[in-house]
This record gives sequence, C-alpha cells and structure tokens, in this order.
Amino acid sequence: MFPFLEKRSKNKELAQTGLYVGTIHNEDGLKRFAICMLRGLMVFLACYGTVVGLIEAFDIPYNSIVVTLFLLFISLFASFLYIHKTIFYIGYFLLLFGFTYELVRYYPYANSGFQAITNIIYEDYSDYFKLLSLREAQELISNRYLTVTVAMILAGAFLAILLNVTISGYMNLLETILITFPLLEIAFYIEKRPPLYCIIMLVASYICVGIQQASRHFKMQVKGKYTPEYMRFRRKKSTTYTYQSNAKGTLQTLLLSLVLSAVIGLGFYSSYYSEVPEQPANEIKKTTDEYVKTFVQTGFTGLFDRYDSTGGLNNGRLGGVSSIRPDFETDLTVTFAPYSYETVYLKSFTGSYYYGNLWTEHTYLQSYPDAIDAVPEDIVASYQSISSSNLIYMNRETIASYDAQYTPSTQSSGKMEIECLDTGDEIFLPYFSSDEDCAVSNNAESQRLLTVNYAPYLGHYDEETEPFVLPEYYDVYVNQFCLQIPEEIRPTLENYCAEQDFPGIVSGEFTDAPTNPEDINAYRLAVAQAIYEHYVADFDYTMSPGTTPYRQDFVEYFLTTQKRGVCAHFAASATMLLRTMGIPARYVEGYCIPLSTMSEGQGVDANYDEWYQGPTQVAEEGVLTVDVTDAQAHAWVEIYLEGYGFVPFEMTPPDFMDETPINFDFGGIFDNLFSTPLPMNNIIGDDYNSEDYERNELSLLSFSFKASATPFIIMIGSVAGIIGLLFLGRYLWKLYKNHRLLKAEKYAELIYLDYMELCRKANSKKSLANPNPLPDELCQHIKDIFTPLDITAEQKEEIEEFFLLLEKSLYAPARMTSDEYQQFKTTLKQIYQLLKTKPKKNNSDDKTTK
Amino acid sequence: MKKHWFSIIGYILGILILWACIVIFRQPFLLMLLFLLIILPALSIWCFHLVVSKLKVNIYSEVPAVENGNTVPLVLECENGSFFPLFACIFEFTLQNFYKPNEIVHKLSLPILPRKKNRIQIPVETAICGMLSLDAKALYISDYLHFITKEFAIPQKVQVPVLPATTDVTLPSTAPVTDGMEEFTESDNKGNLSSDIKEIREYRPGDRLQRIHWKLSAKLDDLLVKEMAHTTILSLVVLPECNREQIQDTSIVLRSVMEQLWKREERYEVCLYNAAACDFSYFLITEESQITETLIHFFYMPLYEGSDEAKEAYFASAQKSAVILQICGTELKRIDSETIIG
Repeated sequence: MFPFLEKRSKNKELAQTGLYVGTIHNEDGLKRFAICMLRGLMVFLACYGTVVGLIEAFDIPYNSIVVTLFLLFISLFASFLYIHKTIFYIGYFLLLFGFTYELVRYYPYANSGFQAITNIIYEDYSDYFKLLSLREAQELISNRYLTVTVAMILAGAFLAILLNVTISGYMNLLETILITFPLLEIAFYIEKRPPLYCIIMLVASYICVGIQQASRHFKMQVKGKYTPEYMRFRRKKSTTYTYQSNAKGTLQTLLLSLVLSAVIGLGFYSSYYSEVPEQPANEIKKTTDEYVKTFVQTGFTGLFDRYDSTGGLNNGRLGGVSSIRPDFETDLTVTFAPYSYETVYLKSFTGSYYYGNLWTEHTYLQSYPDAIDAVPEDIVASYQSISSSNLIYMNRETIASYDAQYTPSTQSSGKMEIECLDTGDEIFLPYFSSDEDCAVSNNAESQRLLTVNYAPYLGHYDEETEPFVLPEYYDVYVNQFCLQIPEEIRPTLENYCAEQDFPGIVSGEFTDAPTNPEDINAYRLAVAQAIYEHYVADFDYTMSPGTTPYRQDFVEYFLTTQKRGVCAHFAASATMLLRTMGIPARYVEGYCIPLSTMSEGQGVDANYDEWYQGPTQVAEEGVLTVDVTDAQAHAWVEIYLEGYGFVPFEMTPPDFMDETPINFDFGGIFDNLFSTPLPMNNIIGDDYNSEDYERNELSLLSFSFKASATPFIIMIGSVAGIIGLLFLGRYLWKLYKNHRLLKAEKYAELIYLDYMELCRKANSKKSLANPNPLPDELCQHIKDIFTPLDITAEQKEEIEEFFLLLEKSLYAPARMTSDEYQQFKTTLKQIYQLLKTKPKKNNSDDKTTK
Repeated sequence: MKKHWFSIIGYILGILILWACIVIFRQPFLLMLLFLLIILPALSIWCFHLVVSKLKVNIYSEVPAVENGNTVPLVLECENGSFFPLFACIFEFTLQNFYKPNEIVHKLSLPILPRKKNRIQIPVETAICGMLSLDAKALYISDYLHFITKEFAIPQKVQVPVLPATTDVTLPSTAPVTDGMEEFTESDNKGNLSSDIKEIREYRPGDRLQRIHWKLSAKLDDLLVKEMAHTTILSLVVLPECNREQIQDTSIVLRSVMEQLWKREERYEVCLYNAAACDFSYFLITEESQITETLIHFFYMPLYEGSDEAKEAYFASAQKSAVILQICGTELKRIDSETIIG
C-alpha cells in the first residue's frame, strides 16, 4: 500500500478504535536472501530435472559440468531478481538482453544443437513407431557435443526464467508442471527413461511448490519501498495480516520434498526402469499416436489438418490438409507389362464439378443438392434434359466407357492386375479403360483384386487415330460441365489468365480459339503446357502448404496468395485455368507409377503376350509387380481433345514425390533478419561442416560484435519499439480509465489520480519532505513554490479552494459534484502552468509572469 | 474440523485424471506420481495431527502497562513440539480498548516451525488511554494440502493498561475543613495506618491484596478485607467522574492529580464509583505503584453520561467526610469550595 493511503487508513483506524496494529514481525524475519537462494534451488531442481532428464533419456552427448553449473547460476540469478524491486527491473532487462545477445552470438551453435536434439528425438520416434519417412533438420555444425551443450544452456536459461516466474513469482504447481512435464513426456511417450535422479529432482520441486502453494503464504512480493513482512488486507469487519514467505519454512519444505521424492523414487526404482508389458493399445492411445506421428513427420502444421492426411486420396476435398504425411505403406500391388517410360496413371476419382473447395463426380451431382443449386440454370436445364431423356447417362459405367473412347491407331491392348491392400472400395483404372473393363475378385489372401484390360496410352495422342463421334449429351457434358467455373472466382481467374503469357492471350485480352479440330487440340495442349511452365517458374511444390483459410476459395487462394502446394493444388487450379481459357478439363485423383517405381519392381514369371500386345517403348519386355505406396497418391488433369476424349496431363512441377528429408530450421523465423551479418551464412558453402571451419572460424570466442551490429541495432530498435508501444498502451489505458471514471461520475477517484500526478510534479519542481504528502502538506509545499512567483490574491484563493475540494474528495468522496470537479480541473491546469513558470528576476514584470 | 471440499474434490479429480492417463499411456513415471498423490494426503494429515497434538499457544504482553501514544508489544508464541512444520495457520483475535469497543476481527497468518517457540510480535499502537484487551479467539490450522482446518481454541485474554499522559494541573487547596478538634487535624505523614483492625468487610474491587484477611476468608469461603484504623483521619478523597464523553481528559487529570499529590506527599484516597453496581471503591495511595493500580481499576469502571453522578452518589450514600477533589474532564473541583480549575 502507498504510505499516504497507509497513513490515512491508520489515522482513520486510530480515530475509530483508538488502536492500530503496526508492523507485525516474525522472530525469524523475512530473510529475503535465504528465500531467494532456496527458491533458486527449487528452480534449479525443476529446470535441471527437465532439461537434463530429456537429454539423458535420449542419450544425447553434452558437457554435464558446464550445463549443471550454468543452470545453477541462471536459476539463482533469476530467483535473486526478487530480492529488490530495482534489481528486479534492471536484472530482468539484463537477463533479456543477455539471453538474446548470447542467442544471437551463438546462434549457429544453438541452432545446430536444437536441430541435433530434434534429429535424435525424431530418429527415436521413427524407430519406435517404425515410420518409414524421417523428418530431419539440417545441422549446420556437426560437433554435437558442443552444439547440444550450447543449446541446452540456452534452452535451460529460457526454462529457468519461466520457472522462476511460476515458482518465485506465483508459486503455482500447475504452471510449473505445464512448463516442465511436457518436455519429459517427449521421452516417456516412447518409453525412454530419464535418469531417476532427474525425476527425483523434478518431483521434489513439484512437492515443494505444491505444499507452498497450498499453504497460500509463499508469494513473496518483489521488495520495494512499501512491501512489509506481513501484507495487510482490510475488510469491513476484519483485517488480515498475511506473511509473505518464510526462509526456514521454505528450507524445511524443500528438505521434506527431497526426502519424500527420493524415498518414492528409490521405491519405484525397479518398476521405473522395467519394460512396460505389451498390451493392445486403446483407442485414445491410437489417436494420440496418430497425432504424434503426424507431428513427428510434418510438424505443428500437420495437427491442423481438417481430415486425414496420411496421403492417398481425398475424393475431391481440397484445402483441409496442412501437411501431407504419407506412411509409405503399400496401398496397391500392381502387376503389368510396362510399355512406356512415361508415368502410369491409375485413375480412381474424376472431378467434373467444382464448388466450395470440393470436386464432384458428374454422376454424383444429385447427391449434392447444394452443388446443384450453384450450377447455372442453363447447365442444370441441359443436365436435367439429358437425365430425363436418357437415364442411362446416369450410369457410371456408361460414362466411363465414353471417357475411354480413345483407341490408338495400332491395335494394342494390355492387362493389369491391381491388388488393393490398403484402400477403400475404389477401383483404379489405367489409361484407357472403363469400369466395364475391370473385373473385381478376391485373391487367396482375401484382398480385392482388380483385373483391368486397357488400351495403352503412350503419353501422347495419336493423330492418326480415327476420331470417334460422341453422342450429343456427352458433348453437353464436355462443353458445359467440364467448362464450369464457380462464378465467385471467375473474375479472379480471368484476370489471372489475362496477366499471363498463355497462348490465346494477346495484350491481356482473350482471343478466339481455333476451330479446326487439329488446331484446337494443339492449342489446348499448348495452353496446358504454358500453365505447367508457369507453375514450374513461379510456384513451389511443398509437402506442407498449410490449409486454405475458411471462407476462402482453394484455387483462388493458391493462385493469388499461397503459390505453393501439393499435387492437388496444381491439378485443381490448372483445371480451373484451362476452363477459363475455354478448354474442357477435369480434376483427377488416383495413383501414379513413375519410372523410378517401375525400376524397383520385381519381375514376374509370366507370358508377356498375355499381359501386353502392341508397340512398346521399353527395351526389355517383361511383366513386373510393383508396390504402390500412399506416397504415390496423386492428382492430375485431364484435358479434352476433340475427337479423342480426355487425356491425362501432368501439372505438378517435377519435384513432386520428392522424398528428400524435410529441412526446417529452428531459427528459420530469424533467417531473414539475421542472414547477412551472421557467420552462419558463411558455413553454407564449401566449408560447411568442415573441421577446419569449426576449429578456426567458429570457436566460441571468435564472435565479432562489429560483424553483427545490424541485428543488434534491429534488436535494440525492436526492444525500443516494444517499450514505446508499452508506454503508448499505458497512456491509452490511462485515458480510457479516466473516461470510464468520468462516465461513471467517480470524481473522487479522478481527483485522487490528479492528486498523485500533482504530487509527482510538485516533487520534481521542489523536493517534498514527504514524498507522499497529505493534502495540507502539499498545499503548503505548493504555496512555497509559488511564493517567489508573487501570485495574485485571487489565485491564492483559488488554490485554497482547490485544496479544500481535494480534501473533500478524499474524505467525502460521495459528495463530489460535476461542477466541483470541473472547478478542480480548471484550477489544476492553472497550477500546472504556474509550476512551469520560472520566477523572473525583475519584479516589475510579474504581471506577465502570472 | 472443517473440511475443504473444493480442495479435496480437486485433488481427487487430479488423481482420476492421472489414473486415466496411466490406463491410456501406461508410463511408470505417471504411476510414481499417482502413488505420490495417494500417499501425500495421508502424510499431510498425519503431520497435521502430530503438530496439533504437540502445539502450545501463549499470548502475552512484554510490558505490564504503557503510556498512551506508545506501542503495546504483544507477543504470540506457538510452541511446536513435533518434527514437522505447518504453514497455513491463522490466529484470530479481537483487539479493543474498553473505552472504544469494536467488532473488527484480526486474522494473522503464521508459519509454525518445528521444535521451537515461534514468536510473532504484534505491536499495537494506541491513540487513547484505557484498558487494551486482546481476546484470542482461535488458531485455525490447516494441513499441507489444505484439506482440513482445525480450530485450536485459545481461551486467553491479554489486557494491558494504556496509561494517560500527565499534564500540569493546579491543585486546589487540600487543607481540611477544621472544626476545632485537634485530634482530627491532618497528619503530614502519608499512609499513617495503625495495626488495629477497625472492621472486617467484604472484598470490593480495588482493595489491595495485602489487606485480604486470608485466614478468615478461607474459613468463611468468601474474600474478606481488613479495614485498618487510621491514626489520623483521611481528609482528602479524589473522586473521578466516569463521564463517557470526557473520560480521556478525566483519565489524564486523574493521573496528573494523583502524581502531584504523591509528589506533595499528601495522604489521599481515590474513590471510584461503579455506576452499574452503585458502589464505591477506595484506593489508598501509599506507594507510587498504587497510582497505576488505581488507574487500572479506574479503566474498569463503567461509563455513564452524566457529569456529576459520582459526586451525587457520594453524598447521597453518606460516604466518608473529607475534602473531595472531583474530576470531570479537565475540570478539577474542590467540592466544599466549588473552585473550578481548568
């Protein structure tokens, strides 16, 4: 409490009861030094138990002496900040500055250390979950012993600062657990055991914090001018005196906790290190495991997927997967005779209609009333006329047969057996085949077995092939459904196309497409190729593109904002762009078998002629069985070529299916900020990871402050900016608070705030004997200040009235009126002006002075 | 014994959550924590009972009396004979001056450390004289986990007189009214008591202990006091009025008068009027310490509204014939001469 308020309260109490309980004192005293020391030990126990426990659980090498000493030092340093208010503020600033400075200084080491730790942890997780893919971070410096030590020191310092807040500041068990336990859970989750002594230390800190929190008397305030040993809280009919903390009590609790923790820890010694018996995992554990796997493989972004993202097919759903996380399990086993070096596509889903980030197969349109509602009336009319005139059109097999009308000029045919191991009920059709060509059966292991006869597609349409004639309703389907674009994104797509250098765009204007069937097909392929090249040039392929924000269109967001994505992004957006350019196109999902997969296939002892007949581009003729994993689930585009039907077109840039490890950088967020001056950038060159570099260039003492001045300027600027913002926020908050008080007509409180401000200003003008004066003391002080100014009698009177009002507001706050407050404010302004006035030497000018 | 159900239920909930986590994740560390959570309450309550069984509480003042404006150094002493500390203890008490009673309850939290006398100093600043009284209500002791709180009754009361400061007063003439009989003239020697017992009467508050006739009291099972025969007649009685509004001033003047008379080596009695019992108590001042003793008795006297009640009752009940110095507020009057000294 402020001394002024304390004094006022004391006087009031003395007047009422004739008694006042003064400063209560415990014989032991508060002993802040000892308390800070003990709390520092508690922080150390928790911090050491967590950091070292985690690192030791994964057998990561580090310098234990350095880490121990540093953690002890930083824990004590942080806890001693609570010894005095001044030390608290200065110390925290130094701590923040020092921490940031050291982080920047040893950034390459810390970064590499964190990456080393995460790599080791990921490896262990991958081993535990038997994950085939591995998320791997790039370590700039290979000396793990050094980098892990640096990383542990910095992480430990950060943790110690946090723990100091939860222990020294709040003495809160839950917060302490939330900060420490999740880190150890990383180890426990995959049955790694931190050393028992770490657990004993951590549990001891938990018990100690818990007991002290439950006692409700161990929140030691930062010592300031007004912080007594016992805190006093007055209520109407009671007064409470609460002791803040007690050194001996803290020591006894700590000892008790250590003993208890050690007894329990040693009692559990054998069971702690014993293997957990294998039991079938429950559903919650399975779900958690899935999340953990997702996190291990794709990071945080993977946790925000709106639906399954283990790879495979999404049946036209778009935008809900943040990161693709294939499990690399075999989904299909395909037996066929390769006839081309081109990628073999196995189609399972054909999206004709796009709306609301969802592709719909044309035969299922009726299942989506919302989608139907969004279809332009003319298309619906034509669609309905078709469906009413020829119901057979609704039959999927029939449509599929029209989709597969392309037949090469040379008679050729192939057979493919697809064993479905980990898929749904979908069928997978190679180009070109239809449902009618597919026979479904079960093999000896009761797996679904698809046997498909197909007309091989050699990667280009054969101009010599006799074009087939389509029925009228199929033409409607192609030229209306397969040109459909949601009206909401049409302007965006048209503008986007107009800005590109696509064939058919001249000076930003759409030109008429050729009408001749041969020219038009060439035109369509040229546009598709231009879109593909545009993607290669300006877009990035990534396994972690992030989800599409809610209420945003997937294609629009990808083309205008995101510009990075997986195959579905490229295929869906390319389909829309093609349609914008007037080219019928469809979005297709399925599996692809690239040449690399085919080369890993196993030969099958079979009669080649039974599996393939016709021209082939492959030198060795034979039948292969290849395993197709969910990593090969893919999306691509089908372009309609007049007289030939829909042909597949690859729109995903060439690094799709790149299985290189995912590179991430712990400090990636700072890369742009610190990239130029940091020595880290020098590492990424020929000398990267070289021993000479580490020895000569990156010794722990080789850092040059001069070389890294820029980041510090930025950092200091940022800190100054934050401080400025804090001041601004404080000022705005003050304004808001005043406004609220004025609105609530709480004039006394407003006057009290002004009074405090006046005290401060009067004190700065001439120091007050009592920094928290009573109104009459302040009045006398102000008068003393104004004496050399020779103020008028009228002004003196106003000042007298001002202080009368002040006293009234303090002693009879309920009686203050708006007018009185206005009068108070007016006089206050005058006083402020007078306080600014300097006394003039020439008394004859006193009038102007006033 | 008060049970804190909120804490208990929260704790049980924590155990259940931990149990669920063990069932789901099967980690030995969680099992260890669960075991800890299960034994902690038992340990907490056991320690609590151990401490409570060996706890002694005492409250006292370090000084017998203080002068107004000074601090009364009260001390709370909790002796914990066990090996375990307790940290959540609240000592509840009321604190009041008889002249300004209040109902404010004071709650003081304190740690009770093991194997020692835990002393807490409670300094009470005073603004008025009178009898300061600290009534200890109870000591509420909670276990480590704050599951239970036991009320440890402390039937103790500490009363410390807060003496008024002295002031300069002009004493009126204390010469007795002479009627010509030499043997009734005032003696210069104070406390001229003979060894002859004039009468035996019942004990009245304010009577000195040394005057109690212990043998007779023991026989009759009632406190009896010896009234000694004076060799000279007491001629001066100080009669303070316990007027409620002026009690502070009366106290100040009373003490000042008593001290001045003592310094002048006058032999006098202080007559205190108990308005509730309509009774008078006489205190013969023969030692300096009797001044304080008399003041303490004065502080116990019930207050009344009138300004001359004691005087009127004195004459109405035909008390001793003497020179009466009546004190009411700052007024000091000699009754026979009606002199007003302010």
